Amino acid sequence: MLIPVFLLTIGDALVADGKHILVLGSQSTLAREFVDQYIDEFSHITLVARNAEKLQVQAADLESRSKTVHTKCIDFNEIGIHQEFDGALDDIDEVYFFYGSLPDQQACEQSVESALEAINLNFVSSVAMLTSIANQFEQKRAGLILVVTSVAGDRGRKANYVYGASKAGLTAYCQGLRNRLASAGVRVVTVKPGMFKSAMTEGMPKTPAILWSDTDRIAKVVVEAATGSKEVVYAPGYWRIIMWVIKSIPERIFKNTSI
Amino acid sequence: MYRSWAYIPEVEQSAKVPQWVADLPTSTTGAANSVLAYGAGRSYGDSCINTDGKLIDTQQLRHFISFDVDTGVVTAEPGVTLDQLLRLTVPKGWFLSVTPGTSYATLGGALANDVHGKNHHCKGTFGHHVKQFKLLRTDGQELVCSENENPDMFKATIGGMGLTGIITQITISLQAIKSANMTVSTQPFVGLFEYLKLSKISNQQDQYSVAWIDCMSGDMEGFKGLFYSANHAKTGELAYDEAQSSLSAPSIIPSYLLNKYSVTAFNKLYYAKNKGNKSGINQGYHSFFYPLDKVANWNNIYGKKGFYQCQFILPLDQNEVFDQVFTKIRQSGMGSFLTVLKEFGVYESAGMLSFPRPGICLAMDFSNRGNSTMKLLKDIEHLVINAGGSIYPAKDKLMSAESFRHCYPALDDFKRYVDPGISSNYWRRVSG
Ligand SMILES: Cc1cc2nc3c(=O)[nH]c(=O)nc-3n(C[C@H](O)[C@H](O)[C@H](O)COP(=O)(O)OP(=O)(O)OC[C@H]3O[C@@H](n4cnc5c(N)ncnc54)[C@H](O)[C@@H]3O)c2cc1C
Ligand SMILES: NC(=O)c1ccc[n+]([C@@H]2O[C@H](COP(=O)([O-])OP(=O)(O)OC[C@H]3O[C@@H](n4cnc5c(N)ncnc54)[C@H](OP(=O)(O)O)[C@@H]3O)[C@@H](O)[C@H]2O)c1
Repeated sequence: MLIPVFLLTIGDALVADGKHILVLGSQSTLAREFVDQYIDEFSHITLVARNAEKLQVQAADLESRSKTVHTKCIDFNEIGIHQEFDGALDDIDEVYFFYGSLPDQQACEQSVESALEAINLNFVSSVAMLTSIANQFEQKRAGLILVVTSVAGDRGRKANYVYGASKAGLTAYCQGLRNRLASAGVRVVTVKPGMFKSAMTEGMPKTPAILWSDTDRIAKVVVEAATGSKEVVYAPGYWRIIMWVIKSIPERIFKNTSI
Repeated sequence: MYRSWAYIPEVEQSAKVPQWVADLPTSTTGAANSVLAYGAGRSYGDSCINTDGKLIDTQQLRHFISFDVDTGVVTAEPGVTLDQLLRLTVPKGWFLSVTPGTSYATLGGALANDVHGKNHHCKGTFGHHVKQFKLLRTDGQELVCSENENPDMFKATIGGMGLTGIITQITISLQAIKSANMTVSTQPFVGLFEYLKLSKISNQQDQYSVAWIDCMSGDMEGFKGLFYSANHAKTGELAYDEAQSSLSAPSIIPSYLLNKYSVTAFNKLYYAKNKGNKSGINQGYHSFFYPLDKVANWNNIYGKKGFYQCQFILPLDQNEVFDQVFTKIRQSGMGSFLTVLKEFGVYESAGMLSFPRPGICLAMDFSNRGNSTMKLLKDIEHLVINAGGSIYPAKDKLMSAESFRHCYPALDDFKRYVDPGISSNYWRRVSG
């Protein structure tokens, strides 16, 4: 039996015989590595990304590995995307937010458009989808929502505060959502990675080397976060200490550093 | 940072890391901007390094395209490692038809070096099981290659050291297995003739055989060895055997720890521990095929200066040359940690520049002591070339252009298929 590539959309009726996960930003380096490491934990997967051709490559890969695959081609910057998810989560057990972009800080300082686009992608679009997803999971009284934010959201820095602000917003949003959904038995997990090697950071100098992780290490933390019980996870764990130190530097001193 | 497995040449290079086949560069300009595909860097020599140009790391190109569980035909992107493939196929009863001694190698790297395994006498090389592949040339052209379509490019690319283009997709056929286990027998022996006798008998009944030898323990008639023969077990579970490194070599071990005395002691100990005659012992496939993968970064044990691998084949009628090689090694006072002997079958090579050919294959490693190690390897090179033997490019970083031409008479023919936008340190050295 040659496993064919077929494309379905979210909402198609499913015979669920295992977990169904929804991966937003499935083409991110981290998402791909996560899916590989998590492969034995699910039987159905819905991939959401903006490149249709690559979605087919991903679908064929996962179908070769005996998964039932659905794909959805979406640009998260488009308004109204949350409607795609309204009423579509009945079969979905876990939702993962991987997409994001690291904008050019200088461009964001010069152009309102650039700044707002980054905030819109990293924060606003996630809020739109999370509103829809959270309500459905709350009603089901089950589900896992895992959102990848960043250590950059822990403290605004002159080098990347637009990105940092978008991730800080998302982190705070998830924190509140976690508290709201706790009583409904829905887990909301925030993973905050430090720097790692991915498409996003290709070409950046990887110094100091000890602060840079390989993607598989970060993906492992995401897997552990998904299957474990912690709710706010740094990746790797030592970033909790680094960020604790960075956050405790008084603003008047911090201003004069190059951090 | 990118370098070869044996840390020589002592260079580290950066690379482009495309995430998708569709993102591969489709045109580069001229030899000055040459590119080279990099698999997992498990080649010991300089064939996976291109310090005058750029590297393209293919490890993210690791999607499966299809897997036919009824026929055992799998199509995948080139960065899929052998381990990733086995994880998919073993539970369905399929194993690689040919595998090298590391599961971390990629399909692209295995094809480009036309790698061999412990079953050469009955299955030939990796290339013999490649049904088709796609090749992206640096002018943007994409070729589908098989025995019927672009057959010359097919032969040039198998064993073509990445020089004919970037392989973007590979279809191979697997062999059916009933169990993930191996049934392994061990037999101690002394000297080359006893080895040949054992090998002859084993070749008729076993799919796999290989010998470990202590080349310091005696001359051609007197060295000690252990002969391993094996088959896929007939019963047992079909479970993926994880490539988990249980040990890790510390990142820098002073190289003086690895000297003639410690190597001799290691080899004696290894022999003493394993010399009991054992037959039909069941073990997982991983520990049989990939014992070194259990120690992460084992290449670090040779210290910062790295080491040399030396692997060659001598025609069957050139046994006395083994004696000369062993004598040279004993005289040099340099020990080889791991020396492996394997008789190759009479398969016609799948590729134009494939290394395997009929004869006896010997693989050794020497920690890098500078000029004296180089001299030893050069001496061995001359002995091998004069005897009509050949040296394995995947393990080589010293061979001269002249020697290369002796080993690979199809060189001039091959050059017609080389992509002008691709080069490597290896190629610049041997193609002259
Ligand atoms: C412990 C150990 C045991 C080994 N045992 C054996 C053995 O038993 N038999 C054997 O034959 N070899 C053996 N080898 C050598 C190893 O199998 C080969 O060197 C193999 O080619 C390594 O594959 P790689 O993916 O690491 O490729 P690399 O070493 O990164 O590259 C090897 C070559 O492949 C080319 N290449 C890689 N990807 C592509 C692509 N997509 N398109 C075009 N060209 C490409 C590169 O340009 C280069 O020329 C062993 C190595 C180790 C470390
Ligand atoms: N890498 C790091 O150092 C680092 C550190 C901390 C946090 N993070 C976070 O980790 C997550 C994963 O990132 P990564 O490092 O794996 O990088 P990545 O590979 O670049 O992933 C980002 C993904 O977001 C997608 N995307 C961007 N804009 C989009 C849009 N408008 N519509 C649809 N998809 C869009 C990209 O799609 P395309 O492929 O189509 O562009 C890409 O697949 C991100 O949230 C990132 O912010 C990364």
